[in-house]
Amino acid sequence: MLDIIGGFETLFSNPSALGFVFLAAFVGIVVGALPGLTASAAIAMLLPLSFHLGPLSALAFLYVIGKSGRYGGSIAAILFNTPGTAASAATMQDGYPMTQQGKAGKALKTATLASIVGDYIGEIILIFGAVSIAVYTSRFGPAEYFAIYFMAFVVIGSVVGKSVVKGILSTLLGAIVGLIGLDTITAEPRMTMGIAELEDGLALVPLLIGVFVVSEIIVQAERAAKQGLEESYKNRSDEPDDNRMTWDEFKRCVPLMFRSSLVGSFIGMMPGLGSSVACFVAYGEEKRRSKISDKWGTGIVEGIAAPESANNAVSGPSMIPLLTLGVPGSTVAAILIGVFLIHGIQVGPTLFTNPDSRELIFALFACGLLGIAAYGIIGYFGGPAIGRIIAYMPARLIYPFIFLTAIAASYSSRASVLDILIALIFGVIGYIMRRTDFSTAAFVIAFVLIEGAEEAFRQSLLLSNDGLLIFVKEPVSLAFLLLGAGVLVFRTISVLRSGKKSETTTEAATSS
Amino acid sequence: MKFHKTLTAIGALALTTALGSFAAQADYPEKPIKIYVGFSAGGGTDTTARAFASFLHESEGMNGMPAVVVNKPGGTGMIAAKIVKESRPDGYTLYMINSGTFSITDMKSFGKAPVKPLEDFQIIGCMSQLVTALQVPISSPIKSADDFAKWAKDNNGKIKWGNSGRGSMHTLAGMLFLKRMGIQSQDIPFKGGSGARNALAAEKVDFAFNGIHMAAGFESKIRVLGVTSSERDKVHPDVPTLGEAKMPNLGIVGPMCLWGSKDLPAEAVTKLGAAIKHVAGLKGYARLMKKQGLLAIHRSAEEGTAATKKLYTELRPVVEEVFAKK
Repeated sequence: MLDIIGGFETLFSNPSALGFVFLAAFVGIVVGALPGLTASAAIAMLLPLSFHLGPLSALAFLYVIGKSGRYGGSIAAILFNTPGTAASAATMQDGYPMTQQGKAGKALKTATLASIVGDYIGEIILIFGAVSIAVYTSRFGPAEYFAIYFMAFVVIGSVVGKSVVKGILSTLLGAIVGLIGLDTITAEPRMTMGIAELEDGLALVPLLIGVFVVSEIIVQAERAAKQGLEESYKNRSDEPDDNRMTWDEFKRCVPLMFRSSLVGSFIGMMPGLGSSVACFVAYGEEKRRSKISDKWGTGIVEGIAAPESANNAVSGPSMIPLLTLGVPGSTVAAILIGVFLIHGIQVGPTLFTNPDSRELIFALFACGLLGIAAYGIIGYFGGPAIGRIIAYMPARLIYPFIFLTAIAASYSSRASVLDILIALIFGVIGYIMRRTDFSTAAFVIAFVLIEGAEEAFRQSLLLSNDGLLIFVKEPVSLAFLLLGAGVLVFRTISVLRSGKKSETTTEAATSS
Repeated sequence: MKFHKTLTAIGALALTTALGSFAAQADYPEKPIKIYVGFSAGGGTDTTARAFASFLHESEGMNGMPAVVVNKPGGTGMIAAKIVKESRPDGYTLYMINSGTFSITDMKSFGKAPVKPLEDFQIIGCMSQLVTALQVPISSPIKSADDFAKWAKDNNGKIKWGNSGRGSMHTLAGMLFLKRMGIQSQDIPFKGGSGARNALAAEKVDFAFNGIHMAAGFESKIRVLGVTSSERDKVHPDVPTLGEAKMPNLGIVGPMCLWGSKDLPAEAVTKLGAAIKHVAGLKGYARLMKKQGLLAIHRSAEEGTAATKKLYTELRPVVEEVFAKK
């Protein structure tokens, strides 16, 4: 507690750092909201600038951009159905339908509140738990990580969609696509068709854009060809309740935001899992819990609150593996490692024991706390203004614009023309999947998880002297595996039971 | 009159063109230089390139021209290398990578890599180097390189060690070392140096071959037993070479070098070479590098090329064994 007060002292005696916190809050929202720019691309671009700043200003600037950028991504997701960052891919599921119903203002305010709640919970866990959590997780090896990945795969079960078979097929397809690239163990190329660029695997951003954005544009174009584009943006509601979150909705969302924040925080602590996994897991889990799970995806505030709390809750805890193990938990964290090193801060176990770096780190946490408030205020009052401008734009202008920004976003993450092609190919694949009721969410999550899961599994087997038994011998790994298996059994039973009850509920239950 | 005007115009044009090309040669560099990095921003190669680039314009022969770092990740650096190979060899498009990664990526492709380091490119000069170190968890009973030799013989065949991926120089140097020692072992590849360090600090493996800079900040968890180079690392002068401990002396290091097309103008090579020597000797550059646990060291084009050739001859048999020819 004293440390964080000391952190604020350091921060407030450093006007330059203070200024950069506010600048970062603003810049992050803008780059996050522009579908062509992701927070990590912006941080990479601004990295050289940080050479010339003091360590606290540089770190605060980039750290807060990471936070406000994740939040800003929700604006693009809600208004344009384009994930401004990979973290907001799940927000589109309900955010965009709300915009179509003229409730963009409500959606944006929900996203802002949920992001603030998630971010604060994550940051508090980071401040008070970093050291003790790190002591615990630093003992984790491949077997433990595999068990955690296994748990995450089980949770995908909650977003598979109506047909279990199609859900499993979507997951398998995502896994196969995710395995393109260098084999993590043998370092030999796999399914790369001799294309050197594919050796690093498919990048997440173009894939997401293809599956979610390009496919949506095809759907809209097809509808336009049939009946003329409905000018959905025009019917912006002037009802005050459609432009804000009502007290009733807020009360409904509070427990859900807390749960999702904890989910996000937990995922953030695991190196390799990031915001993009957290948002889907929270969305899936809350959808499963919900009494009105069939309404999810049609434009309800819960569908925004859950993923937005979760993806911002990742921000703080993802610093734990970064600071204490030197293992980045997200793209933003990977770039931050470089910044730490440039400024001579050695990440690792000594970080919290060295008084100088300890003071700096707590000042950085103070920057985080202040930055969340800053982007919250800017977003809460400024976001709907952007929404209002968009609302008066006709759809025939919106979709070409979305298409252009989608192409730009695919290109910008790695400056790669191949990535544009990937976005277009997966646009067609995503379109076919949607038309045939395959689960695009399960596809994407499997894509994200498979690489780490495979790596951890094969490393465990190499480490083990008695094959698969290694997963049972490590207590942490055994606990997670049992938990995952338990959830699986429980869910199967509940699906079977509701299947007996009546035909109508079957659909709702299996879709959960 | 008209004719005269035209003639003067042509003459003037010819003169300016001639002057222009003359000026371009005499005044290299006359515009900013692009340094391609084949990895994402924030990584080891990138931070070295940025530290180097931020001092380059201060060097006398550089006419105050800045250097810009361009990140083009992919194919273990080969995507960026290919861009440099295909651009004009005028000295304005250069490439930075450590020889270890570059030569191994070439060797393990068995002729399929788009760029052959020592045939298509030349080393202009080197400003840092990667040093491989044998490391154990702090709780390990192995306290020194001598202990290691004894322990390895007693446990031959039961040993498990971690590394940063099979395509990494540190891994292949480790494999070569164990082979010379006659030790049978199982290696467990992790993704990158930090993944390998994590597993070592968690005591999941017996030891690891990893970059010596990866141990910085982890002194409470990791003990460094020795390095595979012939000389001690100047940032970690207390760590002996494995050769000193009467174990195989591999003499393997990966110099971090600035590369360019083999057809670069001689003037550009000379001026850049001098600039590298200048920057590598600057205190500010050394300080930036040391903060990352890296060494600021100057190696001339000849020394860098010799070290790279050594990597090829020493590591090729190991590469061929690990990545069996297809």
